[in-house]
Amino acid sequence: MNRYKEWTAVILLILSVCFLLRLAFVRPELPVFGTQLWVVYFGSGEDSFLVPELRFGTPSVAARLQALERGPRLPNLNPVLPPGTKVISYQIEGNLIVVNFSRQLTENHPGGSASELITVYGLVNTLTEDPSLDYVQILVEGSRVTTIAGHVDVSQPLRRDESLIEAR
Amino acid sequence: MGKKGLIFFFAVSVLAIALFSASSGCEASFRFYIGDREVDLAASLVVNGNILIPISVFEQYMGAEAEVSLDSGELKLVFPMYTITGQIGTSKVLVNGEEQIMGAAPQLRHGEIMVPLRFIVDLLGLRLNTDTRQAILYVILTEEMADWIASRDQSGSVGLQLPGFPEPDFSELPDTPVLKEIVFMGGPRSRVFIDVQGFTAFHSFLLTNPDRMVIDLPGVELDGPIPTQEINDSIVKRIRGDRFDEQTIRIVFELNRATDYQINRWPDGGLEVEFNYQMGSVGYYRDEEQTPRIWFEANEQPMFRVQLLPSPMRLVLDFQYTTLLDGAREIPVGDSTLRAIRVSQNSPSVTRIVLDLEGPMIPVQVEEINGRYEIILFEGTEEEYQALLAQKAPEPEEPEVVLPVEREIDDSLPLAHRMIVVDPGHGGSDPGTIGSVLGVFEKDVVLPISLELGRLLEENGAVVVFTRSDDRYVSHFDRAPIANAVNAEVLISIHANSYEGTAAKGVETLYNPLYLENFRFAEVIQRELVNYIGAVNRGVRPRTDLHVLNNANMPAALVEVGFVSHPEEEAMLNDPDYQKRIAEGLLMGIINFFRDYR
Repeated sequence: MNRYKEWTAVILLILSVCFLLRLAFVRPELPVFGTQLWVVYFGSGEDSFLVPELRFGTPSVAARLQALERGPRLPNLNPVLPPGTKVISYQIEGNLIVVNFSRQLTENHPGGSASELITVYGLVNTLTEDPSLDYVQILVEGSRVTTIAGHVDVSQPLRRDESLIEAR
Repeated sequence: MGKKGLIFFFAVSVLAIALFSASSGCEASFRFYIGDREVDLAASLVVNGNILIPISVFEQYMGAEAEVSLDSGELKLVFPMYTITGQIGTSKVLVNGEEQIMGAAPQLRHGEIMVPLRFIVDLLGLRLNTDTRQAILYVILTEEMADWIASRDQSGSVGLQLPGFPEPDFSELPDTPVLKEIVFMGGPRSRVFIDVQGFTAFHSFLLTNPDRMVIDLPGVELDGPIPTQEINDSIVKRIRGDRFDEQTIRIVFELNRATDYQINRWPDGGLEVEFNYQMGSVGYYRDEEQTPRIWFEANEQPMFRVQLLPSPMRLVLDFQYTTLLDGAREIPVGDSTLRAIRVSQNSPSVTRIVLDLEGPMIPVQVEEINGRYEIILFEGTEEEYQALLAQKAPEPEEPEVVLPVEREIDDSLPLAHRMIVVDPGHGGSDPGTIGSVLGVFEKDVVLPISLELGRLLEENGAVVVFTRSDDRYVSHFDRAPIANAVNAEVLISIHANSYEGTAAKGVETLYNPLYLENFRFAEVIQRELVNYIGAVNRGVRPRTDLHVLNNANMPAALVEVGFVSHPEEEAMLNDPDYQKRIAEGLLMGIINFFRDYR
């Protein structure tokens, strides 16, 4: 056991020195200590799951909504809101957030239950990351709609759905 | 110990560097390492900046002893120096008997107790590091911790070992972050991309007189001199940059006027700067229909938070990331419902418009008219507005049920006298999803499949009712009620699927898990259809939120027969022979359901 440890140690030492020689000096410490880490959910590349994308900074509701509006930064993820969709306004009542979208949410939606589920729960799961929010009500230009693309009932406040988040 | 300590020091440094520089084609989200070991995270959760991970990870990768009781919600985590006891749902824990507060409360997810990672890491004196470029999160172990883990590891191997570790790719990443260039991208919010290769810290602040915004980048090298850029748009006059001191590069944005900004970090190291929306004049009028409207001038439409406050009644609109030009002001109105409008800069990033009200009012919609934005208001509460919309909506008509002509049915047929409702998705003005290459409409694919299925069902003795048998619009509200009205024994809703990109393909069947019969019906249909047409099996999906299924009183399933967003599957779905085969596959599923469960 001792010999094994020594042997490992020697290899480690050699490798370490080799690596350190390749580097002129160590990079400055990462600046993200203390900053908050939060996630936005976007669609996965192929199998229509939600995948969290990491963000740094203060996770205000506005920041979360803006991140959804803008779409993913990683090239292998898909946006959850249809092109051109804007958040007009939002209102928070206790643990419910009501988000009022522009008409592009329904008009530009590509359809299909797979992509509709990603739209609905990308939004709901991202907003309910906020520990004070449990329910999301979707409005389109002020009015409650039955569905966005014909399948998922969004007329009532929706709860988070973990089952759509890709297992890792 | 000294020698060992030195070795571990080296090893830890190398690990840190290697992890930091590791290049891989990792999927999105983050990868997680404890020491040199990649942790297979079954689940993770971010609550207000606290990452929660399954308690079993500490057991598996950090040599802790974990005890959990799912019944009482109690949890216990034993490390060499610390014993932590806590409870699901409360952030108070006892560490060696002393009370401490964690950043978030432990939670139960997927049958796993999730605990905040940072609290444990800090407690053990370890370091939690992140690398946004690679989306890696890693815990750097101390020597003692690594020894502890090694001693607890049943394989007997040391926790810090290099083999199998991703080879760092130094050709791509410079050792020191390098400022390549500053790209002015413009747009209403004067976006600027600071192209830094590698990960950099930054420090930013506003200075006035003359108004300017400064970003300092410590430890960043210059690729060459930074040319001064004359911008002269509505926000930025000029961008210049230079070495500030030996360690720091300073970038200065000369502004027309001081305004708040956001700096967003991009995964590959760059920093994106964008300034606030700029709000100018604000006013109020009633249009020809006497609808109250607030208008404002802005370079782009900002989102706003709405609050309706009582006594005195006010509607508060907080425009996010918005700077108010020309200072705070009050606009007297003296309207029947609106006394006055007050506009102010509530915080550097929020412009607030307050409406002093006589009666409730809510914003409904924003229109862009002649370069300014108009908020359309409704005089009344949210509930009153929804009620008004419901009133305006056309009266729900009694669904039109076309019962098939009475006919002689051979009682020996497998589906003799079974009442089955076939629901072809969408239709008429609602095309459903649209194919990626041929532009095939979902409504035109599912109708022939449904009609053929209906024909086959009748051949087998069933009595079939369609929710639509031609290209017409049928409301969501009518589909399940048709099946309920005829006392159908099953409802099958036929759809075609779509997903971003062209890769997703295959068949899936959705059902409401409230009743076992729904699962049985969905499962047998999915199995028979996939086997018969040889499509990719995406499985059955329990959903409690699908409109057509939730309103049906009988076993019901929604079959997505393929993806029109997949070019090959789109072509197949458009082919009458393939449509016929789908109908045959569905028929077998339905026959088997009645044979096995009825």
